[in-house]
Amino acid sequence: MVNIKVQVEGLSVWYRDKQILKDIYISIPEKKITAVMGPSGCGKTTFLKSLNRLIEIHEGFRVYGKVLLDGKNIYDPDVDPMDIRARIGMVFQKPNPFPHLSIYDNVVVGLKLRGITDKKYLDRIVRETLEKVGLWDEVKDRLRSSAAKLSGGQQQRLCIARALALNPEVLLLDEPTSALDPLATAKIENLLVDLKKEYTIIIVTHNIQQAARISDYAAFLYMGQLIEFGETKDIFTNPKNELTEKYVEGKIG
Amino acid sequence: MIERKILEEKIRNLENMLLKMYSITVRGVQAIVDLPSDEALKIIEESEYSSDILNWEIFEEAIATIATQQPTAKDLRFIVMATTIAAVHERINDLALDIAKAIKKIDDVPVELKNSIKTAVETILKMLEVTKNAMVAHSFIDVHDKLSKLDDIIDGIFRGALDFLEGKEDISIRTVMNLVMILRDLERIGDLVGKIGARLIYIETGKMVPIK
Repeated sequence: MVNIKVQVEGLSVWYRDKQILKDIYISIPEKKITAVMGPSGCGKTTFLKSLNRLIEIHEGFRVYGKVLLDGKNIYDPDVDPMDIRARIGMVFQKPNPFPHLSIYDNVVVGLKLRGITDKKYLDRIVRETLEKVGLWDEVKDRLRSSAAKLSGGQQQRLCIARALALNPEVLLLDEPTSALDPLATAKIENLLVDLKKEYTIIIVTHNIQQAARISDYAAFLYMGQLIEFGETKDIFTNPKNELTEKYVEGKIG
Repeated sequence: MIERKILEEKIRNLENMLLKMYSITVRGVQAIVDLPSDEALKIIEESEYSSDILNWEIFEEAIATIATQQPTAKDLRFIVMATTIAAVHERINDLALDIAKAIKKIDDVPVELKNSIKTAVETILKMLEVTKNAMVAHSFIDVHDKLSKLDDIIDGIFRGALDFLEGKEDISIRTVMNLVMILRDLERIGDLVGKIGARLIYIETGKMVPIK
């Protein structure tokens, strides 16, 4: 029996007079990896940003419908978007550590912004999250060095650690390996497979093969519409929709 | 070296499915010596049915793994060969059922041939064990020689049984025909286990070495 962590009901997003997402219904299973795939401009990133209200920081967007996190609509007026963004963390396409901050401070920056300054607690979080992302052994002797000195793959794992430091329940990743080499990509993919034991993961990817490799469930978006959603093995061996079939076969893009 | 966790988990799963298939086949083949008892027939029918289902499950798991994990080299060889090994097991269980049906049509199997069938079954079980051990240990060094020698024993039993039947005039043609079919099916099962061995060698070496 799969529990549903995020339930999207009738989600439509407009940017000025253009509709980006069209009446999307989807149930995201808990502690699984769900991949959202589709060609450029299909609305993948808009969809992801709608799941933690990050969409609201951009001007000109209007959101309709519901996004239920454990049954509670995150767009209800009594919900604080900052709380939602802590519970639903996000990692972006390009590694974006704060270059002027140390590795240590990059991990705890979100906690400090929330007023947490207890050094023992912060030390513990730094160690725990860096261990989770497999970075601790690589950086434990240079925690006060600039994060900018890390390789691209290390920086992306640091960004994941930064998101985990806020103890999220859901992790959103927007093409997290598109700027990385194959080895760094493989490390991130293995990391995500480990992290799904504790977190619900939603990953947007251009890379069909990556979606196939690491996800348990896959959604195919096309021109703002959800064309198909299901178990990844079914999507890649016996999709129900002809458009999905053409997409996974690499015949449309 | 970077581990590909999901792919490796799926390969382990396929290995376990093949081991389950092996157990089904062993049970079905073992039951041949207890024919024509109803219990033996029931076991063989169950094995034939279970192997058919499991063959499809292995096939589905394999194509899902190929589609989602993009395996290459030895991983790819193993996954593709897993489907053909499963199909060979399924065929062996079909033949066991054919043998069971043929034995049902015979009033009485001569003692000499009962012994021949028993020896052939024991030899097939030894061959199956060689393939299982090779798969579990990922070691295929002696597989070719061991299987070839055992298969020769079965071929010898088949030829000896034909010679025996040639000199018998007191057995009906119908009985002779059914006995020949049974012995030919046993000889064929030996060949098929040899094919499993050849596939296991291919997984490890990338070379097709027929076992005959």
